[in-house]
Amino acid sequence: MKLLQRATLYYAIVFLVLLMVLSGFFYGIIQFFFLKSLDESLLREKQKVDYSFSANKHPDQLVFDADEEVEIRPVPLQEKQADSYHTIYFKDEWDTTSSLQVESEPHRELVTFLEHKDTLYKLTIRKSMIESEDLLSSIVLIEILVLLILMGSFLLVNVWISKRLWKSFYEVLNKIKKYNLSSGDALVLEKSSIREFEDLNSVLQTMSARIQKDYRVQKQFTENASHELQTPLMVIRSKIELLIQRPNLSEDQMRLLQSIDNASQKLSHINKALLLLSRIENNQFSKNEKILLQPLISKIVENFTDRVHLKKLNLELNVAADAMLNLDPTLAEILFTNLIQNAVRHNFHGGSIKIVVRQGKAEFSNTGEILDFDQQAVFERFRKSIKSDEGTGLGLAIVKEICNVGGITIDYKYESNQHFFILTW
Amino acid sequence: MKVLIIEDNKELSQSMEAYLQSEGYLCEVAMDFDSAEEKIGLYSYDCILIDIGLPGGSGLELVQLLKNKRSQTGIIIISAKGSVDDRIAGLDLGSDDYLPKPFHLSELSARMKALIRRKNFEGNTEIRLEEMHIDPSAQRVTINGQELVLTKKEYDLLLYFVMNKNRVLTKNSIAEHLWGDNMDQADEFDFIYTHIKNLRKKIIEKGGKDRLETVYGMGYKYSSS
Repeated sequence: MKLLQRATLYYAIVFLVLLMVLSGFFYGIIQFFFLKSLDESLLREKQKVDYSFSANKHPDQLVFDADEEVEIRPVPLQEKQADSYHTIYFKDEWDTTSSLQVESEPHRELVTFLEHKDTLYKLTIRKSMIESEDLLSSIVLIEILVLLILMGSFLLVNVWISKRLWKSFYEVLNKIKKYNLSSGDALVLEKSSIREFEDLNSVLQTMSARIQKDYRVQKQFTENASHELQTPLMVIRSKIELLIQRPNLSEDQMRLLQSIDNASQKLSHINKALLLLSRIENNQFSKNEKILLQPLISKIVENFTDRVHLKKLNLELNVAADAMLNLDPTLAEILFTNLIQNAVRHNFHGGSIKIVVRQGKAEFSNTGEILDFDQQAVFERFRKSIKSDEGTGLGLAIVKEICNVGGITIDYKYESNQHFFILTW
Repeated sequence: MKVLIIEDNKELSQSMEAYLQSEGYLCEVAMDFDSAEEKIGLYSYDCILIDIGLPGGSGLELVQLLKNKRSQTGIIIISAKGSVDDRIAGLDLGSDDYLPKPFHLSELSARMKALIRRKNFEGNTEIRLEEMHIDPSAQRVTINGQELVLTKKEYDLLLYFVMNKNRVLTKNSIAEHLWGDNMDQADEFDFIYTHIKNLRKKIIEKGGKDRLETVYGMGYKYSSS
């Protein structure tokens, strides 16, 4: 979930809870004041009656407001109690006569006692609360509405402000996502007027510059190291060549020398591959040109004829005449050589190889045992089958690197006992 | 045959010198740019081996210098750089061959012989080895006048042996000469064995003498007087 969405969600939840609590609270308060004013008006009525009594009017002569019901009834003296207010529910008389189904309405009632000429009167004054109830609910409704509008607009404004505030952050994020360390370009971020983001930018820029530097040094190191190893390796190999020319070498000595020669040969292959890999990474092959694939692949396959025959492989070659690739010629040759070499090397005796190339797509498939390591790791450096002693373990890493440089997508899959390498460009 | 080896690594130049001397060449060694320049100015050679990265200057400048002198010397560039640019620059300047390090001394020797043959015999590069005649320009081999029909690989193999006669050639060196880097060591033996078996058979069929010797597990040797 995005930051903004999450913040909005939290706000909305808090707002809803607040809304519920607040509207209940409002309702209580308003109701309290309503009752208070109702009670006061009831009390005033009582005072009016009291006043009338003191003017010696008979209770029957009293006149009351239409919205009030007043009941005056003489009661025995001992029944006198303090004034009390109640809220009661009943149906008005006119309601019971009507055909309408009306619910009981709330009424406020004051029960009080007045003495007049030695008679105690129980005075019950009632006022309908229906109107005030209606008013109350309208007020609360409006209140809730106002609160909702307020909160809604707050949320909207918040989203808008956050979007503006976080804009530079998302821009930075986008830049970093697109940033390619191996491109060699420095990470350039736009200035932000917000200090935190400006800090973030400068930290990121410093960090990327550092990483870039380390990365360059690292790449340079591989190239330099392989380069420096070249000459001593050559010295070892040349001394072996000189040594084996000596007469009187025993078979045993010869075999030892053979092992040394094999090992140094292998070492120089690995070294060459590493050097090549770092050269590709360092973009030393960038003379891209349109290459017709048919003659190139045919030539490479030709070079493998001996090995294909020796392993009794069935090779099927199907390259479209118009298939072209925009790549450095050296890289193109290495790319297809490595793929074909791979298909020959990791194959069964009597297996098959199929090469199908169309414009924009090349598929190399060969029979072979399933990988004894994770399929995803097939392009990793020095990733080899435990059983295989051959190869430098760098061939497919080089293939992958060439594809990276040349904008080619390469996928690997293993299906029905066959390895598939699929290139699309 | 006089050869100048321009190589700043002492061990390596000694190896080349020793190998080439045993092939009968007169070798001189220069280990930096200045001494190389001096030697080129003073003497003439049949073949010069030039390393590109030298203390005091680039080997490519020496190639330029030789070309300015209109020297007929064969030039082979040996370089650890192995980059395509160097190769093209070297060949453009007029060097005759380019050998990236690391290389086998037998490969160097074979290329030198081919080069010197091309330079000195002006097209007439036929090689005579007792009953065998090889015409590199036509890639044709005859034994006692009878044509020996060989595959491309068999021919290359035979020529490589002949160029390095009386030398032990490692299987690695043969494989690299014939197939470049794309050969697996495990397959090498079978491959070379197959080709050598066929080559022997064909030579014997034409009445030639089998001079290919197996040197234990190491490799092969073509013996010839």
